[in-house]
Amino acid sequence: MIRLYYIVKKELIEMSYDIGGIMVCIAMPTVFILVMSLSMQALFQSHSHFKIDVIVVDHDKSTESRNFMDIVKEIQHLNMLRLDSGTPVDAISKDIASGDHKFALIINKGFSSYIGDINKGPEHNPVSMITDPAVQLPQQLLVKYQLENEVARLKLTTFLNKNEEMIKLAGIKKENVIKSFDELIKPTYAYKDKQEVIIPSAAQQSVPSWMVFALYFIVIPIATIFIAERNNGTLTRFKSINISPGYLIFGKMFSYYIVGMFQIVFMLCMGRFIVPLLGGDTISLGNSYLGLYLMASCCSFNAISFGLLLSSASKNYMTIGAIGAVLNIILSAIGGVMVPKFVMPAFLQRLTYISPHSWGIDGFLAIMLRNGGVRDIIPDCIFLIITGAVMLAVSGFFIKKKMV
Amino acid sequence: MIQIQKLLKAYNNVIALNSIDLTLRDGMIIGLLGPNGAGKTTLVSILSGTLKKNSGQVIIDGLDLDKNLPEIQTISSIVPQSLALYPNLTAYQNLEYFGILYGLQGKKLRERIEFSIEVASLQEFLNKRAVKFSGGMQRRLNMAIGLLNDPRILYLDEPTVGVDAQSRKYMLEMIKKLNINHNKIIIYASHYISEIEQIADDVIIIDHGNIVLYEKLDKLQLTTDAIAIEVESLPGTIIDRLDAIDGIEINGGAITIVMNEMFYPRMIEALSIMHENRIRIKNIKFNPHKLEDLYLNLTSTKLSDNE
Repeated sequence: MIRLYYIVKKELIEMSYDIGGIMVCIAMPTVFILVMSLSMQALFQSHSHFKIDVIVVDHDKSTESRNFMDIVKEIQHLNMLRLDSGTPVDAISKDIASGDHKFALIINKGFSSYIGDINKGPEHNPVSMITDPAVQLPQQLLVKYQLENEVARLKLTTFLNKNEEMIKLAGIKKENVIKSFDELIKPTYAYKDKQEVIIPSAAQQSVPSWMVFALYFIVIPIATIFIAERNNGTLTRFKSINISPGYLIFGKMFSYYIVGMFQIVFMLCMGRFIVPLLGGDTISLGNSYLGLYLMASCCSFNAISFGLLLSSASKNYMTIGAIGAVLNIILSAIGGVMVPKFVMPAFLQRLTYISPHSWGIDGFLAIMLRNGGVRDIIPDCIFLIITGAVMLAVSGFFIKKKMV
Repeated sequence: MIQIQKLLKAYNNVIALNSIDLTLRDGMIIGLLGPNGAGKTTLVSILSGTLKKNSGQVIIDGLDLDKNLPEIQTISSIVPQSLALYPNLTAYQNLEYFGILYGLQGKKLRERIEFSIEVASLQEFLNKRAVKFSGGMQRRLNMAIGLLNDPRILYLDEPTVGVDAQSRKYMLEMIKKLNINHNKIIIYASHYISEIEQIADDVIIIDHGNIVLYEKLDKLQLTTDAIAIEVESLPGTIIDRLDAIDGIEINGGAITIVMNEMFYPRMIEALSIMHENRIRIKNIKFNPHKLEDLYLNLTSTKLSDNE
């Protein structure tokens, strides 16, 4: 036990002087968490102040067009920027093409006649929309459907107002017809446990991903110390002391397990306390601390085994530094760290299962986002433990080969 | 005592130690001389149990290396050629860490650390990180770590590489004291002839995995003036004839004639034998540096660029 204590102490002291290792294990993921949580926040928040700028030009200059602009002004996620009604379409197109604005809504001449006549269809072209082609399709559709919805509502309201008597006779309540447009669909989120309702936030999504990413960068400090030990003859000294390779591996694993736990606690604290201080949303840790601990342990074990395997198989630090970093980034990309898995095409989603990062993120999300428990992360833990054990066994073989 | 019989080591198909036989005397400092790649580190590594041999037998203090490695490792220690320590740990932390790995604890650990620090003269730098040490201090710390388990047999593999003259002098004195005061067998591998001359009792010259000379140092050192005649090659019969003349010694490719009152008759006799047998003279030296000449004569004449 005392040997283990001194091995851990030595590893931690050596690591504390490894600036590169600290940068990639702590500083880099911290920056990622802060940047991603704050910059992506608006996309995840339903109650956010995030607004899409829309230029509006009124070529119709009618009461109906003014009413329509008042309605657009009130749309929660749109920010209306009104231009002079004399602004030509070419000038507006140029503005959009230059990337200054993303959307322009042109209320064409004849808008009032379209609104006032229930028989007039879209072929009369009452409104046009110019869009920056760089805008993603979901955002384009969001703006288009919202505006179409408001035009249709205005047309219907005008029709109902004009024919109030007839509607009454038909037994139709005007208010109910108009009301039916308001928030017809209200989305709800599905959780394992309904005790606590968690609104998914950017931080909630990005903290687990970047946490897993950071854990696998443990390969850098492991390699720094391990390759130095091999090259400077310390392994020879260990051999002459007759220390078992298993003991050394266990000592190293325990040291880096402590580092891994520190990384996880540090990054959870970042998400929980620091991101809100900077204007972002806090994260929820879920309801199962045991599940969270198990997930952290399994993920850390897998990451350490990955680091030991690469360190023991490589001959020099330059190789291991490059291979370790590149492999981590590739596995992260495949595993859904950089892009959530659900936006990937089907074949890529199937491919994610080869990456331990994917299993790690799934496990953390199950606990922190879906309020899952230990039972929900069993498959993730089993995968991480089995692949970790295989990597550890292979690294043990390499280390033994070098020591005997 | 260390007995080595038919020790063979090959890396892939390259022979590093070619079936060597040696018996190393107790309580001695044995200088292991050889050019780079001669097999010094391989021999020391096998004896310290850090490298496996292909065949042969090694008996150390009556213990068979194959069967009693853990016991042998408790009575021996190796100071590797490279700095086998942790640069970011202080001198004390390094000693404490390796002491614990050696299985030392409590009072025993403190005593051994104190002893090692005193030998290495690092008392004033205990809490300084090794990375801040000079080359000489790092070498001394490297050696101090090797003393922690109080080894009866100490293998030093080129322990003074990259060390300044003062530190080298100190380290050689320290090694000598360890041998005399603590009765340790010290196997000192080096390619510095002057170091071996300063501290060794016995000298082994190794080249291409073969032991080409194993002799007491005092036998190799001249006490009087002499002339050395270096020749191209000497047939066995001629060696016997020359060797039979009092005051003449044959070492490798050199005939050494001691300069005393019998010098001229011996010189004439030796030259006559050489003339009769058409032995070609390469060089004649006055007061030759015997060990260095022997070393150069016995080892490969090619440049040793391989480590």
